[in-house]
Amino acid sequence: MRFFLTIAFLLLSLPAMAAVTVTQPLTFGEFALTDNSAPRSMSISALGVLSKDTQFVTIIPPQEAIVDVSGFPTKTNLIINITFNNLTSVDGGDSFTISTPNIRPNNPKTDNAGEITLRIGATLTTSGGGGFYPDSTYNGLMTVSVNY
Amino acid sequence: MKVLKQTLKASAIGAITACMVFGMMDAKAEDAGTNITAQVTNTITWVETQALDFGEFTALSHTADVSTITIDPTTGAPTYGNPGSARITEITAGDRGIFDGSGIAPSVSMTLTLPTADVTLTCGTCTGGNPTFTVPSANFTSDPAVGAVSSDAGGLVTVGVGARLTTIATAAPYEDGAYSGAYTVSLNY
Repeated sequence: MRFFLTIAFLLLSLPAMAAVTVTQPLTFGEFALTDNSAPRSMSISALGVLSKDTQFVTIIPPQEAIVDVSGFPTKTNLIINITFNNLTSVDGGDSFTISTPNIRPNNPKTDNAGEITLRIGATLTTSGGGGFYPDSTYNGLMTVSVNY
Repeated sequence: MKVLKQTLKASAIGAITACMVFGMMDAKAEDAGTNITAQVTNTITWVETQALDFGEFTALSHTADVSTITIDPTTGAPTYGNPGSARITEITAGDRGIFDGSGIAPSVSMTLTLPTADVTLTCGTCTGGNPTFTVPSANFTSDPAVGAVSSDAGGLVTVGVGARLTTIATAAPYEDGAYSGAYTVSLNY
């Protein structure tokens, strides 16, 4: 009996499993690129503010990523690490480079429930040099690593 | 003694279990991978939905002067110019050309380009010596005007195109027939 009580106590004492869940993926929307003779950039901030070179014509606006973090110790400062892969298309053409992650809040710290919601923006940059981007969907990967 | 042994055994198992469970939880990193997307749509849909038409008319050429038909790009109404001895007389009125663009970014300025070379209307079924009509590039007009074309909130553009047809100064008479020529109107970001 004591054995089962001990196990039950230990299980109940465990923190919830840590989880990082992307509730809104990062997207640079839909756009036309009127000139790629030099690298062109478009940035979506963590607050959802778009800034771009004039060679981008926005058809559907970009959106920042929203990431829910849960199951971490309460009131704990988190270390967020973001990595990106280039965006490529199955239709060929040049790839887009993704860089400069922008995270809000600036100093992420879990709340009383061990949770926090992060907003992540980034910058998309074209190849320049007159490289060709055919009409297509371009996909890449963003990895969010949460440490404490 | 037996109870004490059982208690120690249970505690030991509990401690091992706790170490295993907490050991798994000791990893301080949690990762999530997610897709990033961007859609490039450089191509717009741009189609002629109504052909530019100078209508049906009688045409009398003259060696010393010319006659004209001017199509208004907004209303499509023709205006006939017969300042000299050459004559154009309407049988059926023509109409403006209409071009529709879609799949465009909403509410953006667009670059409209009208023909940069004169267009010659020829009659495919007429004899070889038959005169032609000319549509000078300088007389192509549009509504909205070049430099004032923008997409609407739905990413659509409609452009009316007008032009002026001119007879040529010649002694040769115009034969009955359909006269046609091709021209290009382009729309770009």
